[in-house]
Amino acid sequence: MKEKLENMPILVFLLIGVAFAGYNYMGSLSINETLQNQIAQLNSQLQEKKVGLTKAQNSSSEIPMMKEEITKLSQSLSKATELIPASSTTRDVVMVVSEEAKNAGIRVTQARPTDGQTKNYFDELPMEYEFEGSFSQLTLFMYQLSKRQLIIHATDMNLSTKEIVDGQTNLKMAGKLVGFKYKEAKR
Amino acid sequence: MIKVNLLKDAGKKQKKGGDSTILDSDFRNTVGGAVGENNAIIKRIAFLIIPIVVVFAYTWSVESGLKSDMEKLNKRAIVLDGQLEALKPELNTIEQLKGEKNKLSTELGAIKELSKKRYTYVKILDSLQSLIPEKAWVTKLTIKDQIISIEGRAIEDAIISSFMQNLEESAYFSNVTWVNSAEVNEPQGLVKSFSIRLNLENI
Repeated sequence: MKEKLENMPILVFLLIGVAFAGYNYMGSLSINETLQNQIAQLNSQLQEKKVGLTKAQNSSSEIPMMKEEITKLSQSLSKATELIPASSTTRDVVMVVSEEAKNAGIRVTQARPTDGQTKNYFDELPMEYEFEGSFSQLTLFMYQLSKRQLIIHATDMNLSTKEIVDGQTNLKMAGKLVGFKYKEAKR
Repeated sequence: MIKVNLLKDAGKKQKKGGDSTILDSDFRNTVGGAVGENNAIIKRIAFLIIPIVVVFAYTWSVESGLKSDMEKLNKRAIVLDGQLEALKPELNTIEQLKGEKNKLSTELGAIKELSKKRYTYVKILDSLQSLIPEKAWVTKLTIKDQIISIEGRAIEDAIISSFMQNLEESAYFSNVTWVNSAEVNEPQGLVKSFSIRLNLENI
């Protein structure tokens, strides 16, 4: 046996050694690959965290600015709510409409409240109306109505010729006029 | 002639004397002899082991380097987590403020939209008044949702066509459709009655 070993060429031992080393190296490659993948994952997680941290730091510095914006928005909103006051009633709508009808020279021939819808931030105060007047008078009436502070929408309007007197066309305008009431309780 | 081996006695004397130099030399002779005898095998084993040791050392150093990198990254992640955790109360405040801001913006937007829409009818009536040709007049106008139906009279078809073209060119109306037209007898004489349908746009 000893003699056999002594007589074997050194290259054989070297080759066996290299083969074992290679096997060991290949085994370590897969371990290294796993480790490198884990490192890559960690790196990307770290990057995300860094971005998150930077964002968070930037955002936290925006707090005073945001508070200021909210104050401004609140002021704007409280001004805007004057256009649809929480205290608005159908009576207010009727008052504004009759006032502007009188100013425009048209006649209110019919008026009655109807059921309104409830929206997220406001309730509707709808009224069904019929008016009589010339085209220009009715246009003037709609114009004056749109200029009022209280928002009143006209919907489902129907204009038709009522009569022609001395070449003057008298129109009948029927439709809904809707006022709005801000839902203060929501805030 | 007599030959005397002087070295023989000298060797015996040395062995009997128990001197340490003699022992060392013995040891050297024995080990040296053994190494000398196994020199070839040792060489072969060295050739077998050295590549394995070298590769093992290399892979160990690479692996431990990677492990230490991982450890460093984990520590950094913990530090970042801590920093993020410290910012959490402020982030919560920001979320609350964002929610409040969104709510206010939506409410304000809804009221602005209402305010914008109140001019719709004025714009429609004003536009119609300016777009209708001289020799035509409207007898009925219905506005429902985004659809307008117009009925009217005109002296001739060309005037109806011109009215329709005016409506088409207006920024407020689209899809102007001729529904019908017919001859009717009016106090003014024989005229054309017409019916048009159109859609509201950009109002």
